[in-house]
This record gives sequence, C-alpha cells and structure tokens, in this order.
Amino acid sequence: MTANYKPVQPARLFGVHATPRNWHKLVLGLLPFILIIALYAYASHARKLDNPDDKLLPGFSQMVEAMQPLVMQPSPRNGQYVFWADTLSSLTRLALGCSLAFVAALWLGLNMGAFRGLEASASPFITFISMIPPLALLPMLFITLGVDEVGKVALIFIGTFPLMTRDVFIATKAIPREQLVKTLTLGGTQLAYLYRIALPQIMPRALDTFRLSLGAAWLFLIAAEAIASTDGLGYRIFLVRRYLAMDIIIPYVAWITLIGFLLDWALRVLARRLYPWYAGVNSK
Amino acid sequence: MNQNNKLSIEDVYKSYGNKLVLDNIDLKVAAGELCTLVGPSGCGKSTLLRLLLGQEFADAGSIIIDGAPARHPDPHRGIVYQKYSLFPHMTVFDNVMAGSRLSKQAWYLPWKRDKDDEAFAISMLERLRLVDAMRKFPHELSGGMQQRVAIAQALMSKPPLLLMDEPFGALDPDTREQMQIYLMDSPFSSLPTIWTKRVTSARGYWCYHNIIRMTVVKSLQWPGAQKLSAITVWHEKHCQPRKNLARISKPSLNR
Repeated sequence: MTANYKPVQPARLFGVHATPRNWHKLVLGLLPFILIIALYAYASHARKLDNPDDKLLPGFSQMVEAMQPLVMQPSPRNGQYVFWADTLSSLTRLALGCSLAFVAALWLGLNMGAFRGLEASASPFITFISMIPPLALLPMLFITLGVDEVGKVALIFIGTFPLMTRDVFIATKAIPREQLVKTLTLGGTQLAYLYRIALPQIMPRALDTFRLSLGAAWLFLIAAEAIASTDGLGYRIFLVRRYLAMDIIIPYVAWITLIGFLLDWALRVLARRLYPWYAGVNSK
Repeated sequence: MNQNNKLSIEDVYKSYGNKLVLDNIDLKVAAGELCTLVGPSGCGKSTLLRLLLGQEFADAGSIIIDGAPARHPDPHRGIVYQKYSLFPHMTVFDNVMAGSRLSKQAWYLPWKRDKDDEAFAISMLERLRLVDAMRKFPHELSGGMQQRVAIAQALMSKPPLLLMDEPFGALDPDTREQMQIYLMDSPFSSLPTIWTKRVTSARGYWCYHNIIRMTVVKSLQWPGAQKLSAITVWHEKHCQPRKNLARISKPSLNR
C-alpha cells in the first residue's frame, strides 16, 4: 500500500523558494507606504500635542489648507494658478533639455558605434567631458546664456548628454559584427545598416538610459531653478523655505516624486509596446 | 581563368603575426557545385570564409568571385552564420524580406510592399514549414527553425555564392539531415555553396559535391610535426554515405 502523502505546498512568503501570490505582492508592496504615512501622522500628532504652532511636521489637513490657494485659486499677482504654472514650466524645461540631449546622444552615439573613424576622434573627448561635474558649469552657463530658460535647459542637456552618448555608443558597438556583414550582403547600404538595423536594435536600451537619466535631469532642474528663476517646482520649494513652510514643501516634493514615477512607468510601457522583442532577447 | 568558375582562389596566404593560417590555398568552385570545408578547429576554415566575405583580406594571392576580386561584403555572396544571422527586431517574415527591401528600397522611407518578392518569400517559408511562425520574432523560435529562416533569408537575394559557417552545428542530427535535404532540393541548387564544419570526418554530412579537408598548418609546433598539405579536394565518389545513413534516400546530385 502506498502512503497517502499530502500534495506539496509551495512556500508563499519566506525563504528562497517563495512564490508570493499576486495579492501578497500588492499588500507587501503597499506596506512601506502605509507604514511611512502612519509614522508621519503619529509623529506630527505627537509634536502638535507638545506645541500647537509646530511648523516642522504639519498635519495632512494643514498641507491641504496651505496648498488650496496654490492649486485652486489664481494668484492675485498675475492671475495664474501657481502650482500648475510651476509644474508646467518645470516640465517644459525638463522635456526640452532631456529630449534634446536624447536625440543628440542617440545620433552621435550611433555614429560613433558604427564608424571607427568617428569613434577614434569623439570617444576620448566624450569620456573626458563626462567627468565635468555639470553643476560646476552652472555659473558659467548663467553668465554666458543668461538666467532665462536657455541656461537651465543647457544645464540639463550638459548634465545628461555625455552619459547617454556613451551608453548608446556602447550598445551600438555591442551589436554583433555579423549583423553588419549580413546587411551588406543582403544589399543594404552603410546608412541602411545604421538606421534600419542598428538603430531599432538599440532603441529599447536607449530608452532605458533615457529613463535613468531623468533622475539626474531632475537634480539639475531643481538646482537651476533654486539658484535663478521666477517660477518652477524647484523655485517654489526654495522660496517658501524662508518661511519654514513645510506644509508646502512636502506636497511639492511628493508631487515631483509622483511625476518622476509616472514618467518612468510611461516610458517603460512605451518601450514594451514599441519593442516587444526586447524582453525576449534579453531573457536568453 | 576558367569562366565557369563562380569562385576561384589562387595562391592565397594569410597569417596573423607569426602564425601562418592559410598557406598557398587554391580552390575553384563551379556554378552549381556544393563544397564543404572540413577540418579541426584552428585550421583556418573560418579565416578562409572571412576572406571570401571580404571581412579580412589575404596577405597574398587572389580571390575572384563571379569574375571580380572580393572586396568588402556585398550582395555577390550570401552568408549564413551559426549565430546572429537573423535581425532580432524583425519578425520571421520581415527577416526573409530584408534582402529584397534593403537592396531595392531607400533606407529612409517606410518599406513598401513588393507583391512578387512577398509571394516568393512565403513560398519559401511554406517549403521550410515556417508559415505558422511567420509573425514571430527569432527569439521565439527553436535553433533549427532559426537556421531555416536564416537560410531562407540568404537565399532570398539569390547570391552568386552562398557561404555557410557551420550552419547546422547547433542542430540535432535529424534536423541537420532535413536541412541538407532541403538545400539539395531547393530551387537554388544551382548556387555554388561553401560551408564549413568543425568535424574531421565527413560522416553525417552527405550532401556535397566536394569535401575540402583542411588541416592545421604550422600551428602544430611539437617536434616532428609533419607539414601536411594545406588543402585537399575530396571528390564525392571518395565519400560514399556511411551505413548508418543508408535510411535516407540520397537525392540526385547530377541534375
């Protein structure tokens, strides 16, 4: 007689063999968020009991109250909704600087990766200038290009361009030589290789790089806005800092984080849609 | 020079540093001839293939393809590699159509449809039993299917000379046989073909006209190593199929 064994149950949460269910993942994923919010609410409440005028940890109702005029009411000075005007001008600078850098990096990196002659001339230079700390250039940019939009966009460009170029260059160079020979023997020209074979193959990787560069771009944007600006999310944070207005700073930081998160997510979805083959090739 | 030769290699030498890899190679391949380079690893099979492709150039001697010296890679020869032959970002159908599109259309415009070539591509995919996989990407296919697509892709542009570098090396024996039957049977059997194998015997590779047996030249440094002749042409009559392959019907080689 065979023993009546129970079917094996896979581990759900603990150990290296664990395969959490989807609702496990959802709950576990939300847990840190809930914890941090609860912790903050508790700390804020505790400080309020001690000192009702505390400015360091404003409660959520205080933040809503402080943000209300910025989000919902036009400013008496120029009739703009401050919060939305800040968001728009910041995003415009970010989009302009990042996309210009992306297009330039894509083109230069692709050509450097494909043409050995250009590589010999441009590669050491790009490697060298990628070592310049972009923020150290900020005074120069403001002096030469002015404190208007151009200087800020230029900072974001300079901050993200060398790294993206190098990454695109490495990705292009990593394409097997066989693909070039294949293209040429099938009757393609050198430019056909560049733009119909190499470019589509590196695009998903380039979008990944773009995504990662957005983090750095935010840094340069906030820095530029903090130093010389008349609007923008970074400008507002540094402006209200003088009044210890944590009830405005915290929602602004949360908003910036949310925008960054959504941009990242949208770019990932876009890359998956446009290049469905990429995930499969990489998993091999 | 014999005008019937699609490929003629004369007195070709190639060395890397002090190491002589190809020592006075002579080889003539006529139209419709299937030629197999066989030899141990390091004997220069792939080097010869790279010279034929124009990826590298010989130190001395001449390589004439279709009446013109071999230069950088161009549509005068097709190539099937063991790996990386297919474009990973294109579906099977687009991969097979790549030759037609790249050679006939401008790179900066969206690909236009070409009814004749598409019908031809589909007929070829049908013969190779790949029609069901037409819209898949290469990474979704097995190794054997990928190799079939790669051969269809190379045959699509009807190159005067088809080169294959260990095209069936990664395949299981059954698939390998099927692929060879297909090649012999294909409407392109008039193409001269060169392929290389990493085996020392001709066993298991029975569809050839010539087997060219290459041996290691001067890379064996132990005392008393003989300098063997660099290249031998083994004609088909010297390489009868072995007993264990008798179950395969041998296609006619003399059409």
